[in-house]
Amino acid sequence: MLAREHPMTDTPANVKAELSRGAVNLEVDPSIYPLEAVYGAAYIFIDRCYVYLYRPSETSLRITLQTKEPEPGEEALRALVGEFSNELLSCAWRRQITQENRTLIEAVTSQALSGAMGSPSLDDLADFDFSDDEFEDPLGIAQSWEEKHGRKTPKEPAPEPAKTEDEGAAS
Amino acid sequence: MIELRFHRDLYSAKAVDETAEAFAAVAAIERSEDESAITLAVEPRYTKPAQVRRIIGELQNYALAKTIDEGPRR
Amino acid sequence: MSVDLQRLSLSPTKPAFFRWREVGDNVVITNFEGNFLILSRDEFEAFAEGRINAGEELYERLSAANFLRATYNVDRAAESYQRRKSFLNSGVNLGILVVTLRCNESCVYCHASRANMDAVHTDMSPAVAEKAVDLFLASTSHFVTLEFQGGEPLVNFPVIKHIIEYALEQNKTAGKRLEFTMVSNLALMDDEKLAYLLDKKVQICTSIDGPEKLHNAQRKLATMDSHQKAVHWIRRINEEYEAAGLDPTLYHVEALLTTTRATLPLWKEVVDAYTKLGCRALFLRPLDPFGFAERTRKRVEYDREDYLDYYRRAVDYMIELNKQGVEILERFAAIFLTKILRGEDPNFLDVRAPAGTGIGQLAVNYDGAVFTCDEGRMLHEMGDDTFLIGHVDTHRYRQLVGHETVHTAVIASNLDGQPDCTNCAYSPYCGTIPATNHKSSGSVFGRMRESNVCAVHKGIQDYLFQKLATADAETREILERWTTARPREHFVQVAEGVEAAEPTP
Repeated sequence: MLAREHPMTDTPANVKAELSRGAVNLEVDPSIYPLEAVYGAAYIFIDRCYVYLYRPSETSLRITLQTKEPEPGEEALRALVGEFSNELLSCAWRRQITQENRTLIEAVTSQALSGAMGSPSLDDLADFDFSDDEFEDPLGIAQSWEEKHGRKTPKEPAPEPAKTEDEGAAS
Repeated sequence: MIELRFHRDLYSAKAVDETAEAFAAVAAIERSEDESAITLAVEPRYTKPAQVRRIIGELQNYALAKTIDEGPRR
Repeated sequence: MSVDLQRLSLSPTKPAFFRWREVGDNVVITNFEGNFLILSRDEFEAFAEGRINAGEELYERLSAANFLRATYNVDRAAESYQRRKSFLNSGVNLGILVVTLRCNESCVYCHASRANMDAVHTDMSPAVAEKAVDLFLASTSHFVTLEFQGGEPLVNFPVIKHIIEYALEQNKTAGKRLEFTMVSNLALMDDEKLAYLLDKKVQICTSIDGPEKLHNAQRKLATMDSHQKAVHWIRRINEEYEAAGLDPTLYHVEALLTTTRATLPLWKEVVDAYTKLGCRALFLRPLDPFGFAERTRKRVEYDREDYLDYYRRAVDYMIELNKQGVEILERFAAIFLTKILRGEDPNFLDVRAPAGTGIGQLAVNYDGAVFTCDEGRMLHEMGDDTFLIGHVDTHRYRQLVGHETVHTAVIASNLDGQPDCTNCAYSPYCGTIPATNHKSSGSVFGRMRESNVCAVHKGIQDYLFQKLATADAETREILERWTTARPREHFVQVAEGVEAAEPTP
């Protein structure tokens, strides 16, 4: 997909516009913007843009946003870049905040949903899937503390050394 | 013919294959792969520039959305 | 001069967790559980640098409000937090029933996606209505309000009657504290309908956009007398309440306002229009991004700074009227002040965290489709089904509130996970609406710096804290009075022989 590229005036060096295609390429550092943040931001824009992710190098990730509307013009592309950058920052920061506040968020979410749902009725239980299939657990509520926090499971106690004949006789 | 390279650490292989299948009706698609990426060589069956633009764009979005829908990448 | 944190030697050991915000010449600090203090700049710097010692006045004030590590009372913080979030212990308490989309008025900002008066296919059927009632009476909440909306709900009055009769009957078993409310333009009211609604204790709420000329220009009836009709029936209904022996200061028609660009310069006229009608409350609602407002945006929309200027002037005027013995409060202010001053949540579903989306309210459309909230239903009418979660024919209560969209909305409206909110001093008092975020930014989380709702919430709270910091004692007393919730027990219907649950908070 070769196209003539040129930087928009007064835009950061990591942004390049392809006006003829109605597209902009942003290159970001994946160590600052994790992939989940890129996904989160990109998803918000797929209703009005075509989004393509590319890895030009290990230390770089390129996001191409092409407006669904052809020939959007430089102003529209500038606004698009600005909005996408804001969303990307929001997503990256939200990821960090959620990790830091995970316990609190989980507690509130659990309380909110259990308070609203209440206990299952007989009709609810009749529909419940009691199979052994793995269930979705996006909040990791069913994870053990060790699984969640990466600690090793408690070691098995070391087996007692076998007693010699003399030791056995003495006891 | 347009080549789209989907890096394995950005796109799920399953999502890319599902995309190729979903768009088979509107484009002839040849799949190849190497260690780092799956490449789809896409020849849209509709040739007006606006149609080509749309098919390629929607294909990209489909692959991305399918990848995201699969959940966290390990 | 602003506080410059870089200049300070911040203490990591003396202050407990806090957030801060400059308001006028002062600094507002709030803590995790929502206590607040208003400090001078010097006091804030002393606090932030830990230059405070036991026995000093500032130290004692900070300690009493739980802002110091040395004296931090975890149990007290937990109890306060739990009280603020007590609404999480129960479920849907607001059941919205859109009994028809047909409407006899055409309003410039309509977010209800109205239909013409011949669109009878948009009337809710009795069968759908009964299933909707069953759904709401299955809620885990002890108190349930069924709210009739439209279009114009009076257009489908037979179904309203059916719902009321059916709900009262079913409630003999369900045992809820049940209330009915109706949001109506009142243009189709008549004596017979009114007699029924009064007999069945339906709370009536209407819209008054301010003075007659503005109201009629924005809310068009074919006869161009929307305001006159509304005023006539407001007065009639209020007279009937008084004739029934009900306290007129407590029982009267509630009216709402939608602020458009044309409203902004008329802040005084709006307040006067409401006080003249005997209204005790005025809700200065800004525009939302749904329905017609989207299409008429260029004509009616405005900068939120302009809205806040109008808001401040109107509320200042209301405070002055209060000083002259006129009882009138502003609803947004009352909601925030209740949270700030009383440490309680009035459970206004659009300004709480997590939001009421799916866990505090559900909306049933005329055709039985169920949405997480009325905003979600409006999005559906605009072609977006993101917040559609089921149907009364196929889904039970628990399935609906357990829907993954509801999970998402709960997480998305939890301010503890939200950029900007996580650092905002007003976080303990605030809330977002996922459907509004979705509409305006494409993301259910939203981006607060770009959010009109955030700008309004911050602006109103800035105004209130400024008042709390600088106002005279009489003003402060008026603002405290605005937090007093007087229950209107006349409207609560509990089945005979069934033990009533806790009163409505």
